[in-house]
Amino acid sequence: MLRTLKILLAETKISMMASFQYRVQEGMALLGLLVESLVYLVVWTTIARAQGGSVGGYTEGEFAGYFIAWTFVRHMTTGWSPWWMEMRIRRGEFNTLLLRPIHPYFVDMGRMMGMKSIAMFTLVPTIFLLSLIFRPEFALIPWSLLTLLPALVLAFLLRYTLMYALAVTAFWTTRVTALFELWFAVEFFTSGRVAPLSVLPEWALNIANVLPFQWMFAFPLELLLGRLSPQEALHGFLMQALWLTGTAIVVRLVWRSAVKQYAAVGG
Amino acid sequence: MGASKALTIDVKELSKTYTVSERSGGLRDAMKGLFRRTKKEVRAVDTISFQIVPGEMVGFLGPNGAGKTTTLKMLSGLLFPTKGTAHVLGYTPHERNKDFLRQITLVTGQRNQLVWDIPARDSYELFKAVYDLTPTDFKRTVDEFVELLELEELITKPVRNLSLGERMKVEIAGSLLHRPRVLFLDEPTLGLDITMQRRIRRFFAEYNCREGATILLTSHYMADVVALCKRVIVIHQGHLLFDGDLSDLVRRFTGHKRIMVKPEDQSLDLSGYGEIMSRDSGVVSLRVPREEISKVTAKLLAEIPIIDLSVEDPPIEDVIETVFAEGDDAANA
Repeated sequence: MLRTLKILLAETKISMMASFQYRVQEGMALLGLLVESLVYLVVWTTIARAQGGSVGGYTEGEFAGYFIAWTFVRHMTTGWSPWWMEMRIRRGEFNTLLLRPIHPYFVDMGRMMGMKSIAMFTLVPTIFLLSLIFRPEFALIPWSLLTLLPALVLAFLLRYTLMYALAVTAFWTTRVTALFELWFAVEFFTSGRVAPLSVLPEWALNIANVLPFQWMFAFPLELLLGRLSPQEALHGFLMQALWLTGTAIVVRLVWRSAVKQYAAVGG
Repeated sequence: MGASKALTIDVKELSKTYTVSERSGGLRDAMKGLFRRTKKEVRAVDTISFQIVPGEMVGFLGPNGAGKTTTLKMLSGLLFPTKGTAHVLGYTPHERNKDFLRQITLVTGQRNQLVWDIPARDSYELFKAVYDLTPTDFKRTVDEFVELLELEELITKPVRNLSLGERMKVEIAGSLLHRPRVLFLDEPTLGLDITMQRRIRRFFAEYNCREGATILLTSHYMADVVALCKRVIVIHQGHLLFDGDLSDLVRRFTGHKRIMVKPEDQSLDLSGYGEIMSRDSGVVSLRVPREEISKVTAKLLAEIPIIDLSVEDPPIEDVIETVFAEGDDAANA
């Protein structure tokens, strides 16, 4: 465990060093995040205004709070695509990782942690600037903020592990992009990304409640905004832990046969 | 841990079959492939067996597609064998035991394990964590490799700024930082100039000497094999054709030797003494059956004035070509 942690930190450090080389790319990624959140922000504040001030329990100011916090939570919980796995397998680059006495899962995790840490240098001031412009309304509740970090870590781990489970199918198909597109569409509507869950119609909410996506996005976001009761927060953590445990078991079980299936390029 | 602890590598009737989709090409065939795919089984490695003892350096030869890389991948745990068994250091490679992975390395001409955008020295720090090296061991190994491979200037530059040869040197050093006991080298000098090839050969020979490491090497440059390996294993179309000393390979597969003769009179026709293979700067290369060598040599010395004469085995490339040609004949018979 300690050895894994050491490797994870070393990977994070390396990834941070490499990230410094790509300041423009990092800047573009941040810009992409900002544009997406600002589009939603403008759309939903306009709808709220048209509907007499609020939609789904969110006022204009609260929408501003939601989509500014959105930028932070989205940044913290994304960063890995099964496409990476597909590319590595098709190019035979996976060999290098398989030859190391560490599971590639931790290698990628370290790399993402590095990239995320570097992006914080630009993300935090940007969020501060957005807050000055859009005047968000939210409640900073001390217990809620204290539980934010574990909620974000679990949300990140859950999303990453689920993605990994999806990526592992590439060992059989060598193409996961189509499957990922389907995932992306469902996640888009049921995670709280396009709008707060409370504005969804009941049927969509019912679907969202049986899927894992809200626990990796809407839950930490609403916790940050102080919109959850202690009972709801506890329920959220429980759901995160359950989904994470289940997914981790699946990855562990499937991994061995996936590697067996792996046929490296060349003969 | 398995059996065969005394041997470093123990391969018994190892086979690997790939299933590949087959298509003759063209749009119509591509559309047909949407509904029905023709699969074909390709036997990349076919029931090969060999053993390698600790500290041995063995050349693994074969033409493109012979199954060399597939075998190396099975021995390093990247591929599962379809049939047969393989043990390396007593471990079954495809179980990918962490202790096994800590004791081997696979170096390929195309391998890219260093992070492209940062200096190799920083990537080495990562390997230090991955292989759990103590700071003292790590420093000692890096210093040693820096000296042997002349890396001083190279490990502080971003890898992307290095030339192919320079990159290969820092890659090789990175692959050996954990001082593996078994090295699988797959075309390690591919695309490098002669000087760089020699330096890398010298490095591997020195590493083998210092660490007592076992080395299995594939290379299209016969100079690599001649310089490093006393023993060679030849495979062709997945089958093992030869396993033994390089000198035995030459004896077994060529019934001829070469007499390199420089006559005083360069206009003389020497075709009566043997098949003329080449003429270069007055030196005529004659191909003569092995059992007639002494007779022909004596005859040449007695009959014509000679400046220089030597008897040589045919170039190893020619021998290998003969071996592969016989392999083709056997496969087509």
